[in-house]
Amino acid sequence: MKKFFISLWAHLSFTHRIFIAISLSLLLAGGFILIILTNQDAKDALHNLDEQKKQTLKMLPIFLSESILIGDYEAIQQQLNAYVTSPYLQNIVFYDTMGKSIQSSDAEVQKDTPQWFETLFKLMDSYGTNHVVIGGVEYGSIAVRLSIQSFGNRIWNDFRVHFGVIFFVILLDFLAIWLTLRRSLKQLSALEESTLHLSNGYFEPIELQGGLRETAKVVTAFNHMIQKVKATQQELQDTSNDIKQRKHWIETILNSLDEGVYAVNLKGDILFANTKACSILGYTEEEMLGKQAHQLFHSHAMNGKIIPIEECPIYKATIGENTFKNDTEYFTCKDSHMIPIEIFGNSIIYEEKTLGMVFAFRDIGEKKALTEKMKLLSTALEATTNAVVITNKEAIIQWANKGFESMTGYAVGEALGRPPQELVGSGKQEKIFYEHMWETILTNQPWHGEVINKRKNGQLYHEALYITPVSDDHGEISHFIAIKEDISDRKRAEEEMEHLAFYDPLTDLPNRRLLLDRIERAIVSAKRYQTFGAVFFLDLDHFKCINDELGHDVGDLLLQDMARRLENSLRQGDSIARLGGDEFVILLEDLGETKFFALQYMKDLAQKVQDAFIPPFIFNEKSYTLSISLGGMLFTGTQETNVILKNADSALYEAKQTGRHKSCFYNETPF
Amino acid sequence: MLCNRFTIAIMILCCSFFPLGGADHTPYTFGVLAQRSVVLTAHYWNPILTYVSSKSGVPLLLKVERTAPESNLETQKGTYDFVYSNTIFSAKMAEAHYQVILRPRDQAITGQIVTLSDSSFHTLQDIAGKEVGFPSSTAFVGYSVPMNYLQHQGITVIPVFGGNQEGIMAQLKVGKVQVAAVNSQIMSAYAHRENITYRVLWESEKFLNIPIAAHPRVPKEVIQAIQNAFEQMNSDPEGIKILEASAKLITQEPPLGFTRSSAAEYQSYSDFYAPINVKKKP
Repeated sequence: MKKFFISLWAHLSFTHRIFIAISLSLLLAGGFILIILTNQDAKDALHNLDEQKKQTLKMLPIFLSESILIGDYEAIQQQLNAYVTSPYLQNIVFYDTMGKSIQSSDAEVQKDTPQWFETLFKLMDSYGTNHVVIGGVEYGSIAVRLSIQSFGNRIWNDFRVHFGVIFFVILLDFLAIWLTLRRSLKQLSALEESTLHLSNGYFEPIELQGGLRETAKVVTAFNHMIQKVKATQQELQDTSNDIKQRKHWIETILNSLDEGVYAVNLKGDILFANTKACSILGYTEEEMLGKQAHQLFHSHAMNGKIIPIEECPIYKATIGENTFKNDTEYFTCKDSHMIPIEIFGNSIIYEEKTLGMVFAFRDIGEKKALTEKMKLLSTALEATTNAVVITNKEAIIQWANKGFESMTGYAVGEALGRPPQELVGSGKQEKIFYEHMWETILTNQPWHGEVINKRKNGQLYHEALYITPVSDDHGEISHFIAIKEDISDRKRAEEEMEHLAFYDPLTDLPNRRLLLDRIERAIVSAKRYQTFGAVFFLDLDHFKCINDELGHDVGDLLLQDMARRLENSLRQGDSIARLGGDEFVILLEDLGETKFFALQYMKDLAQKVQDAFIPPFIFNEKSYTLSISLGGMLFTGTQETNVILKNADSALYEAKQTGRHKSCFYNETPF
Repeated sequence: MLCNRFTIAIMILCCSFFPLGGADHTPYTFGVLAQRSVVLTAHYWNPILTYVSSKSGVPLLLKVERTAPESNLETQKGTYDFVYSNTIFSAKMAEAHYQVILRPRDQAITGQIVTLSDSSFHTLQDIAGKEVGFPSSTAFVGYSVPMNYLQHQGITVIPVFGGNQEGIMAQLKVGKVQVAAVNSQIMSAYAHRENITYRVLWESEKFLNIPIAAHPRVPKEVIQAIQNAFEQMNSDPEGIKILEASAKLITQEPPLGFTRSSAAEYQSYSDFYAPINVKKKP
C-alpha cells in the first residue's frame, strides 16, 4: 500500500501535489476549528447549567421553608409545581425527615441531538441535592435535575451551521487555488515561447498579467534583460541628441541674460559673446569673435589715456587669476563713447587646466548717477536743522538725521527699529488725534499738525509735524517721511502775548478787556437761566496819599497784596479784575433766582471784603491800616454791560462821598 | 463470654433507668403561638429546643402555624405536648388543661393601642368608629385586654385582624391600618428593627410574659427534665450564647431565658377571663 501511494505521488504533477496538500490542510484546519468552537459552547452550557443548579438549590429551601415548618404538604406540592417551570429545571423532589417525598416534574424538551454528538461533547443533565436546615434543625432535603437538552439542541444547530460555513469556505479555497495554478502555468508557457524568439533576435518582452510571485519575478527578470539590450542601443542615439540640445539651451540662456557675457582664451581673444554683450558694445557677434578683447573695447581709460595691455587689470586677471571683480573700469563702445561697467570674471577650467576666462558685465551708468543723487539728498537731509525720520509702513524707524538726535536727545542708532511714539510720545494728545492722522496718511495723503512730544530727558516740547507717505512701484505705501520742527519757543511767545493781552501785569488779575468779556457772558448766562449777577467797583481809600508818601514801588506792592486779599474773599467761579490804579471790579455770577438772597449774598461779600482789610499792611517793618470802599450793582439778563458798570461806579462814588470805608448799592440804601 | 453477658445486663439496666431518652424516640411536640413569621419563629426557637432536648434527654419538635387562630385551635384541641402561649387561660382553652411550668425571665408585658408618630390620632376618642388592627381575636394583650377596655369606655371600633403580632404591625407600618392593638414588647422590638416611631394612645396594666405550659398527658419526669433544662440554660455559657443569638433575631432585650413558674403566677390572666371587668391604667 505504501509503495502504491509513493508511486502515485511520483506520477502527480507539481500542480496536483500542491492542490492535494492544501486541500488536506484546509480540511484538517476546518475540522479542528469546528470541534474547538462546539466544545467551548458545550463547556459554557454545562457551566451555565451548574450555576443554575446552585442557584436553585440555594433558593428552594428558602422558598419552601414556611410550608415545610408547618408541615403543609399540599402547599409544598403547589410551590414545587410552580418552581419546576423555571428554565432548564426538569425535576424537583422534597424528602422530609420521615422519608416522605414530594416531587414535581416539567415537560421533557424534545431531543434533536444525536447520541454520538452528546457523547463526544459530554452533554449531560445536571443533578444536585441540598438539606433544608432551619434554626439548626434539619427538616429534610431537596433533589433537583436540570436538563441539558435546551442547550444541546442549540449547540447541535450551531454545529450544523458552522459545518456548512466551513465547508463553503473550503470549496471557495479550492476554486481559488485552481485558478491561481492555472494562471501561473500560462506565464511559464509564455516564458518558454519568448526565449525561443530571443534566440532568433526578436526583443519582445512577455506581457505580465497576475500569476505567482515567483514566476512573475522570473518573467520580470527576463523582460528586464530585453529592456537593457534595447536601452543600450537607444542610449547612444540619445547622447548625441542630448549634446546638441544642451548646446542650444546654453546659448539660449546666455543670450537671455541681462548682463553682457563674453569668454576669452589665455591670450585674451574673444571665443564667445552673447547678444547682450553685442548690444551694450554695439558690435555684431562676428565683429567680436576672434578679436582681442582689450584692443577692441578696453584700450583707453576715461581720461583718454591709453592703457597698456600689460597694465590692464582684466587682461592680468585672465592670465593669472581665478576670479575677478571690478566696478571702476570703463568700456569703449563701437561709437567711441565710454560706459562705466561692473564686471565679474571666472576662470574656465577643464580637467584641472585653465583654458581662459568668462566675464559678465553690465552698464552701471544709471546706477552711478543715482548713487550720486542719493548721496546729495542724504547730505541735504543731514544738513537740515529739522528732524527728519523715515519709517516703514508699520511706523518703525528706518532712518533719522542728526536733527532728530538734537531735537529728541535719542541717538540715531538708539532710534532705529523702534516706533517714534515709543520714543517721544508724551500722552498729551487724545487717541482720536492719532486716529485722524493715520486715517489721512493711510489714504496716501500728506498730513501736518502740531503735537506735544517728550525728549529723552523727559522735557515736553511742541513740534510741527509733516508726514508724507511714500508709495512703491505698485502704488502701495512702503514708507513714511516725517519732518519735525521744534516750535516750543514760538508757542511760549504766543502764550505770553495772549496772557499780556488779557491780564494785568502787576497783579496778574484779569484786565478790563477780559473783565468786559466775562461780564458779557455773565449777562447771557443770567438771561438763559433767569438768575441774578452782581458787579462791585472797589477803590482803596486815600491810596494817592500812600503812594505819594511811600513811593510807587511800595504802592505796587500794596496793590499786589490787596489783589491777593480780594481773591481770598471770593467764591470759586467769581472774578476779580484790575481796571487801573487802585480800581478793582468784582464780578459775581449765578446768585440764584431770588433777589432777596442775591442781595443778601452781595451784602455778605461786601462785609467779607471789608473784613479782609482789617489786618494791617506791613511795609518796611511799618504797619499801615487801610480801608476800602465798594459800589455794588445787582443785574439781570436784561441789562447792558456799560449800564451795569456805570451804575456800579455811581454806587462807589456814593460810598466815597458819604464818608468812605463803606459799601453802597445802586438804588439801594447804603449800609 | 462472662464479660459479654455482664455487658448486656448493664445495657438492659441502663435502659430501664433512662426511659426518657431510649424507650420511645417519638419527640414531644412544642407548639409556639404565632406572633411572628413562621420562619423567624423557627429560627428563634429551634436552637433553644435543640439545646433543651440535648440537656434534658427529651426530644422536642417545634410546631408552628401561620396564624394565631390556627395556633389556638391546635392548642384548644390539646395537640401540643408543650405550648408557648398566653391564650391557654381563656375559657375555651382551659378545656385543654395546660399547666404553666415555666415563664420568661424578662419584664412583664402590656397591651398597647398605638399609632405612628406622624398620625393625626392623639386620644382614644379619635379612633372611635375607625378601623383598628388586632393580631387575632384570640390574642390576649393584643385583642382581649384592649378590646375589653374600649368596650367599657363606650368606644366602638372596626376590628381588622393581621394574623399575628408582626402581621398587624406590618400593616400599621405601611399605612393599611392607622391604629393597632399590640403586645408592648413585640411592638418595641419590631419598631427598633424596622426603624419606625410610634405613639402609645393607651396602655394596659402589666401581665407576665407568655408562659410555657405542659399538657396533662406529659409525664411529670419529663416535665421536670424540661424545667431543669430551661432553667439551667440561663447559667450555662452554651445556653446563654444560644439565647443571645435568638434574642438578636427579634431584638429582644435582656433578661433572657426562662424560670420555673406555676398557674398561681398567672392569676391575673385567669381573673381577666373569669368576670367581665375593666382595669384602667392609673
